[in-house]
Amino acid sequence: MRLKMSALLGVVMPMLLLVAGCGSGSSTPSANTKTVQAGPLQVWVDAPRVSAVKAFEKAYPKIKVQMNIINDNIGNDALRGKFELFNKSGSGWPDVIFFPTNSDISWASSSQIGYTANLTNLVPKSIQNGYAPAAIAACKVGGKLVCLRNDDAADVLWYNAKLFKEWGYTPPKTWPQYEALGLKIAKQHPGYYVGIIGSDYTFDRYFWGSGCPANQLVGANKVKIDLTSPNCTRMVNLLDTLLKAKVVSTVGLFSSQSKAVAQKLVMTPGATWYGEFEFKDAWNIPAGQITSTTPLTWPGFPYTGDEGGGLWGMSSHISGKMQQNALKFIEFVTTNPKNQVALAPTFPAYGPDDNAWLQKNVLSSNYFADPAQVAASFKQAIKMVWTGHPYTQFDPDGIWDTTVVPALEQGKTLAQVWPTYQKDLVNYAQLYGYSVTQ
Amino acid sequence: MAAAVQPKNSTRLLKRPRRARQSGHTLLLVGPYFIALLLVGALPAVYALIQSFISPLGGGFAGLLNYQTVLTNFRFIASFGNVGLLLLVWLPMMVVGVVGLALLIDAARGRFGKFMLFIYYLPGALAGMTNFMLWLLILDPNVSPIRFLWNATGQTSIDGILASPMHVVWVLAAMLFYQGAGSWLLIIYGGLNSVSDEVIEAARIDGCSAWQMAWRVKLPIIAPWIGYLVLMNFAYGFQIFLEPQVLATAAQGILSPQWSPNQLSYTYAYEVGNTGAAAALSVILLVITLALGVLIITKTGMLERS
Repeated sequence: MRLKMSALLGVVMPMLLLVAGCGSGSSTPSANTKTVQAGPLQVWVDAPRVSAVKAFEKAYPKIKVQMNIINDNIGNDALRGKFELFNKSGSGWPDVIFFPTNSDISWASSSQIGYTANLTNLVPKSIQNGYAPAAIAACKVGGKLVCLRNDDAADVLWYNAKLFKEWGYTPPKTWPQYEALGLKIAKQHPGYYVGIIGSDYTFDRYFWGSGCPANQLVGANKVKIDLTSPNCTRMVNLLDTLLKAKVVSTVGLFSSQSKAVAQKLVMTPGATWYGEFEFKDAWNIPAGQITSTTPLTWPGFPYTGDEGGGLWGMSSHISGKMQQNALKFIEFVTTNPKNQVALAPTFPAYGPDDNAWLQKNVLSSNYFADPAQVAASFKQAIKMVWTGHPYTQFDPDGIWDTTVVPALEQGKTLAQVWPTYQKDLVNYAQLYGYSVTQ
Repeated sequence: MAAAVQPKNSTRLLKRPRRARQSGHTLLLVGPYFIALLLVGALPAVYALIQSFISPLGGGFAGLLNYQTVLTNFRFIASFGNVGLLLLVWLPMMVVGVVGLALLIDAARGRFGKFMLFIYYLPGALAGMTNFMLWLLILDPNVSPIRFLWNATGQTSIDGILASPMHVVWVLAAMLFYQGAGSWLLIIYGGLNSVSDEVIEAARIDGCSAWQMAWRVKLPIIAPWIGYLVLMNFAYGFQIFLEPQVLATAAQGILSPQWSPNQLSYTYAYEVGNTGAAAALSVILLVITLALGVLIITKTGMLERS
């Protein structure tokens, strides 16, 4: 027995020492002073961005690009872990990345990960000024420009112009008008819907533009979470009223049931990409029915929300030629009409490309009932996104899905689940290391 | 007395070289496994133990800070509650279901029994992930082959089915049962086959009914196999990760991303970037699983009897 024990110790002790060595070595924050200066450009993109990379390779045949296609699921949570490991090993970062989820920018630009390069003085002012302030706000973190916006996903009001004409309605301009029309539809045309509040983007669609402080940054790593603010409760009351009248559905935006609901959808607030990707492709609403108009607003609060719209980040671990090539790349994909007008399926965030894109995708399209009105609403909405809702490491929209949606499915009202939602937001904020004021 | 001791000693002397040779062979057989165990079992466990005492911020010794972080996390009790409920539902289902089916097959030895064994084994033949994909299809009322059942109960979406926490437990228990029952049935049936015909014969002559045969004769003999079933499935269920993770993806995030303790550990490691807390939670899981494992082994006498 004694022999066995000593043999065991003989094996285990060196192992312990080895591990202890590894442990202490890897736990010290790596010095990120060394930068890569040469080699092919490592680019990480999701599948829809592959064509943008191909267009760049065609435009700059001398710059070698190595593309890596990453999981583009919203909330792809393994990505941050990879960057933690790159930081520990001191190599492996992509030179340019298209973030699969917008809130990724919060950890990527944090002092802990420190991945994104400060673009404030690297990207020409002429390009920076091409963005509407509301469109680039997501990329301004702590006064620095840490990314370039790919596309804009501001919320407009989508509605079925054919039904509106048949039923003699005029599209609402404000939220109270939307509520009143919703109740009218409930009475006159039961079975029809005016909104969807299940999983995916519901917080962004309804509460962002209302100015609800669910993750308002009030300092470095300090957030204010106050769902009892009137900016939140006015929307809770509105949605509970419409929920009771059975004109909003609790299905998820991307769920398989949304198609059935969409056939009865008279109107809904929604991002600029709803027209092409939801009404046309996912829900197969026939051409000539759907159109959009300017975003719904609250009286005295002329803002709207935003649902996605991708971000490009560049590595802070490169310099020299490598950095110049990476800059050429992100400037090309975000601003060059060869990509943003000729290839991009979504509304470019970079202003100077807007008209050409709208001409190609909206005005020349035979899908929308009133293309000119759609184009005007897109241009209007992009300037109206409320800039008080940042991307944080905890996502109010994701927590909506796990906390609010199950309660709605069980027949509870929003007002009933609201305190739980507040509690969960605070818990998750603290889990991610934020200090919270309520 | 002395004469009796003498031959015993001499046989021991004779056996020695053979035993040395045997232990050489044993080492050869066990060696590769032992090395693998060290590399992918013991080493990571020791690494986790060390990491659990390292501060996530400065990298120095953190004392019990990481354990405190984990124990006070708002998902800690909830996630342990979830797996506790799951084990309460699933383990009895597994023991009663698998042992019951094995006894039935054993009672019907012959062609019919073999055929039924094959039928019962079939769901387990689908590898883990494939099985879950099938389950996702079954659970979605829009595409499910048992749509009529879902419609009859008023369910129209997978979100709706999974909205109640208890439904999630039942769904996971059913998934795990169908995935594991087939293979465990083979093991338990193997145990029943080892019951010697003499014992069965003797019991029959003593007037045992089929029920008494199963309950009084066969069950006590295969107790170690049942203990093994409980032990392995307890360890799996307690550390469950994949199943709730996949279910959450399918149901558009309606399940908490920290449904189980292991998922909470994953969140700490890969989303929050706090490897210390992740390691502390892993150590807590390891200690609990080991303690209960030792308890089950000593209570069923598994090692001595098998």
